[in-house]
Amino acid sequence: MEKQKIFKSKYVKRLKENLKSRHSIHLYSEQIFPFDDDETLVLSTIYKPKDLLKKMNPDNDLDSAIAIYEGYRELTLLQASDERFWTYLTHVDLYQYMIKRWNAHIEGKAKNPEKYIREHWFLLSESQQSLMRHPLSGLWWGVHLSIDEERNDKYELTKILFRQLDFATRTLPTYRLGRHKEAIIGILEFIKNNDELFRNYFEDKTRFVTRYLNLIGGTVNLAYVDRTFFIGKLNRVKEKIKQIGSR
Amino acid sequence: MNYNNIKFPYPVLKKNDNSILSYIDFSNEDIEITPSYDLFNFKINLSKIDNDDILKLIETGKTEYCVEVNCSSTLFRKVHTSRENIIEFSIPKLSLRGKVEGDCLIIARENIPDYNNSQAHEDYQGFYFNIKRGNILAYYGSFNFIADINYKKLKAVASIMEITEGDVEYLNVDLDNNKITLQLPKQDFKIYAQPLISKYPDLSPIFHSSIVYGALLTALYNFENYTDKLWAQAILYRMKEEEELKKFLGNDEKFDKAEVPDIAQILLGNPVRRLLNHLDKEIETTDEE
Repeated sequence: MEKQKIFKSKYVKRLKENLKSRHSIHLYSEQIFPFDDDETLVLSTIYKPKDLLKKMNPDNDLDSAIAIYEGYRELTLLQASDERFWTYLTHVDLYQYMIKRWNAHIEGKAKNPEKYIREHWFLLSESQQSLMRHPLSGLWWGVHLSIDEERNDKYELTKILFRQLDFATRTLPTYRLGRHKEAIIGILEFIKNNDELFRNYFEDKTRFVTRYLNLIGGTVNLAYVDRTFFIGKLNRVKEKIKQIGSR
Repeated sequence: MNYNNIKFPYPVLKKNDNSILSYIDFSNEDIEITPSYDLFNFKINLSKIDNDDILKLIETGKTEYCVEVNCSSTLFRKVHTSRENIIEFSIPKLSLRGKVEGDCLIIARENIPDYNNSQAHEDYQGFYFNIKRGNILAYYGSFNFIADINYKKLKAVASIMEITEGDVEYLNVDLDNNKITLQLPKQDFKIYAQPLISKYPDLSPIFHSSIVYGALLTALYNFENYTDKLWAQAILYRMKEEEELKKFLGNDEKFDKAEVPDIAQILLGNPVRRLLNHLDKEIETTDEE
């Protein structure tokens, strides 16, 4: 099996500079992105997953999220947050997926193509928000935080998380809560148990849920408590959640 | 998370807070972080506390000492607990990058109905509180460190600075990376890269007092715009730890720009003196010839 490659840091920087100066915008519409193979490194412990590109589905984020997670389930936290790794995937291994899933700059729908490409092909910073918003690392982290090996269907809660991409990549990352797996599982379990409640205004309701739990974090150490705590707290505000959107 | 700015709906023992009038303290001396080959080993001392009611709750197992470690760059978040006031734990190096933050607390392990504290401020007298599992009863303070910095090698210039070839006409100082990057024009870099120059120890005073010193001045004058960079964190760490540098650092972790030349010279181990000593030796050698 072929070992996984990543870009060198300096090359990532150069790619960013080329984009910023608009010299390379046109390259992001090509069928293959031209890159310098001398500017890559090999990860000694990670193998390139077989047929990952084929498994990525530009029309279904859940399928893609599971595929990318299964392909790279051995990543350490350090590797899974490495800009060089994700930038290599967006430009090389999964470039064809990227130009199908994130093609507003090609279709002429992006107001600012340079900004659009920067936001989708690169990690904007080393923050939690940036990692979870990135079109590929956000998929991996979404599964990592929601997979529950104790269930018959370990992806049962992941399916809820990816009901709306914004929930996984925008709403949850806003708070520290979003990096506590027990909190994520508690929230998703509550949504699963109250499916009817979340049929409409899903985005507004999930935003309320995360904001509410974050407030509780002022007096309770949220990393200390498990999923039952979060489910219990949310059960108490069911009526409030119900009212969202109905006023 | 800085719990100092949070107003709790019940009395919490905190430093510089009068909701409970008892002693609690925490400083850098109470933190020991020792890196091994693949782990960061932590030893946190939480013994500086004097409040009978809270200590009794620990004895009875209703509360415990906790250290929460957070790393935004790798989404690492974990609480380490103990019934002992010295907590020891390890975290794999492969789980942390950049800034790592820790909070030291005492947390309720179970619900404590009718909690009150005999040392609480008089405003709380006669009130009882329904404490729930996970509620914070005491906050020692927080700490942070940079996982990528090899603190033992910080005195080496190479830990914060590197010289690279750049597409530039003149020497350029780039502060936007984790190391201060000195970009040399291609032709100059070729000369610099010759082993007899770049690897020759006798030439280091010349480099330090000219190119490196100049670059460090640029970095220090622009310091406040780059505090998230590793080079800045490394300099800040040295300024907090080294006696000679401590005096330049204010409580807000800022320094006076007028002091920058002195700070730069101390950071580089007095490069001007080293240069003059080097030149003096050269003259002596020439005279002897």
